[in-house]
Amino acid sequence: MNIVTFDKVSFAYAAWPVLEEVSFDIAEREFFAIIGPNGGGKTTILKLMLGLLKPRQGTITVLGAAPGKSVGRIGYVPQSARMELDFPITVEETVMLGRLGPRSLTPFFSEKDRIAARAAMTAVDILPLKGRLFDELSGGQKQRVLIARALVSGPELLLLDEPVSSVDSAVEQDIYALLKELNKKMAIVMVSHDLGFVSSYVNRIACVNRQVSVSDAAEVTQCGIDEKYHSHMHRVDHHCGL
Amino acid sequence: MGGFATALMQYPFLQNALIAGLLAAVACGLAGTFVVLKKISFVTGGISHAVLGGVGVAVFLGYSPFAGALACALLFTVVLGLVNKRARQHEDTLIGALWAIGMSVGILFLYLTPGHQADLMSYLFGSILMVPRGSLYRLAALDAAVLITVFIFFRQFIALSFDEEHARVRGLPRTMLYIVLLGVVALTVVVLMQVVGLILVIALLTLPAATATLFSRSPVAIIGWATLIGAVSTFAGIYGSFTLDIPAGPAMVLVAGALYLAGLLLRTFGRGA
Repeated sequence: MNIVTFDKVSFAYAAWPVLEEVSFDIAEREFFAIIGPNGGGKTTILKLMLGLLKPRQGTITVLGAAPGKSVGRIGYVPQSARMELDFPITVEETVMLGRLGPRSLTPFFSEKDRIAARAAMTAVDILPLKGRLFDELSGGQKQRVLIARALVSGPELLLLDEPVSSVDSAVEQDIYALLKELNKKMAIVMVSHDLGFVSSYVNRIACVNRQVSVSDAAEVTQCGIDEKYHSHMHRVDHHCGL
Repeated sequence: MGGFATALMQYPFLQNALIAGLLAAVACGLAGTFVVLKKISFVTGGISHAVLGGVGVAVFLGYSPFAGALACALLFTVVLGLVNKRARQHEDTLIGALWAIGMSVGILFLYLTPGHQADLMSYLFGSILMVPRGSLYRLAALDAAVLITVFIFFRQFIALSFDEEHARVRGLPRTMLYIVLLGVVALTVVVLMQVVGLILVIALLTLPAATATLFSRSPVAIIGWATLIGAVSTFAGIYGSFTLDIPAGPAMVLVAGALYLAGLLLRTFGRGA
C-alpha cells in the first residue's frame, strides 16, 4: 500500500510554474529523499503533502486522505535554521508542543504528554538536554529536538525539510543514522539540497526540477547538482535525471 | 517619598491611580509578552491608535468612550485577523491605513462634539490621576478577561509564536487563535488607554516585556517580570507626576524605556565581562 500518492500534480506561485504534472508514490516504511536545485520545487512538494499549499491540478493522497486531513499521523520537521531566535523555551517544552492538536482543550499538558515527550527525547538521544533552552543548542541538537517534537505524536510518516542544512558532515551522518533507525517504525520523506551522503541511507530518490523522476538510491549519481565539489552551489540549467 | 505616602493616604484619586497602574501592569505583562514573542507590535500599534475612532464616534453619539474603545478594538481585532488569513501580503499596508483612518475619524468626531475638544488630549495621553473609582471595576474586569484567556490558550499562543507553520500542520486553528491573541491585545489597549493614553499604549505593551525577555528563560518568567517592570514604571510615573507636576503617561514610558535600555546595556556588556 502506498502511503503518499501524487497523481499529475501541478503547482504554480502566481504565474510561475513550480511543478508540472508530477506523479509518484511512496510506499510504507520507505526512506525517500527529495533532491534538486534551489527553486526546483522540493519544499513545495513537502508543503503540498502537509496541506500547507493546495495543488493547481491533480490529486494528492497522504495516508489515505487528502493532505491536511491526517493530523497527528504525520510528523513534520522544519529546518532548524528557520526557527525563531531568542525564544525562551526549553527542549522539553518544545517537544511537548508536538502534542498540541485541535482537540487540546485543557490548559495543561497531561502525564501522558510528559511520558510521550520523555520517550521521544530518549529516541533521539537528547534527554539530558531537556532543561536547556532551545536557543542555546547547536544546529545538530536543535534538529534532534525538532525530530523529537515530530515523533511525540506517534506519527506513521515523518516529513523533514533539509534536516542537515545547518550542520557539519559528521553530524549530518549522525542524523541520517538516527533517521535510518526511526525508519524501522515509520516511512520517512526527506528534502535535501544535495546528494551528499543521502544515497547510502535512503531507498529511493526523487530528483525534482519542475518535473520529478524517481530512481533507486544506488542508481542516482547526478540530480541537477554539481556533485564533484560537494558544494552548495547549484546548477539550475541541468535537467534532473536526464 | 514621605510626603507622597501621606498624600496617598489622604487623596482617593492617588489611590485610584495606583490601583489603575497595577491593573495596567498585569494586563501589559500578560499581553505584552505575546506582543514581543509573536512580534506583533505593529498590529498592536495599529489597534491602539485606531481605537480613537471608536472613542470619537461613541462620544459624538452620546455613548461612553469606554464602550466605543472596546467595540472598536474588538472590531479591528477581527478585521486584522481575517486580513492576516486572506490577504497577508497587504497586511502591513492595511494596518497603516486603519491606524491613520481610525485616528482621523476620532479627531474629527471629537471636534464635532461640542464641549469635548479638550478630552482629546486625555484619550491620547491618558489621565491616570483622574480615573474614577467606578472605572477601576471595569479595568479589573478587563484584566480578568485577559488573564483567563491567556491561561486557557497559553500553550496555543506559545505554539503560534514559536513556530506558526508547525502549529498549522498540527491542525491548530491558526486564524481563530490569532484573533483571540489580538483580542487579548485589544482588551489591554482599552485598559492602558486610561493609564498612558492611546499614543503611548504601544510603549507599555512592548518595553516591559522586551526588558523581561532579555533575562528570562521561560514565557511565564517574562510575564512575571514584565508585570513587575510595568508596575514599577506606572508607580514611578504617578510619583513623578504628583511630586514634579509633570504628565504621568510620558513619565511612565520614559521609566520603562530607561529600564529597557539599561537591560540591553547590561546584557550586551555584562556578558563579555
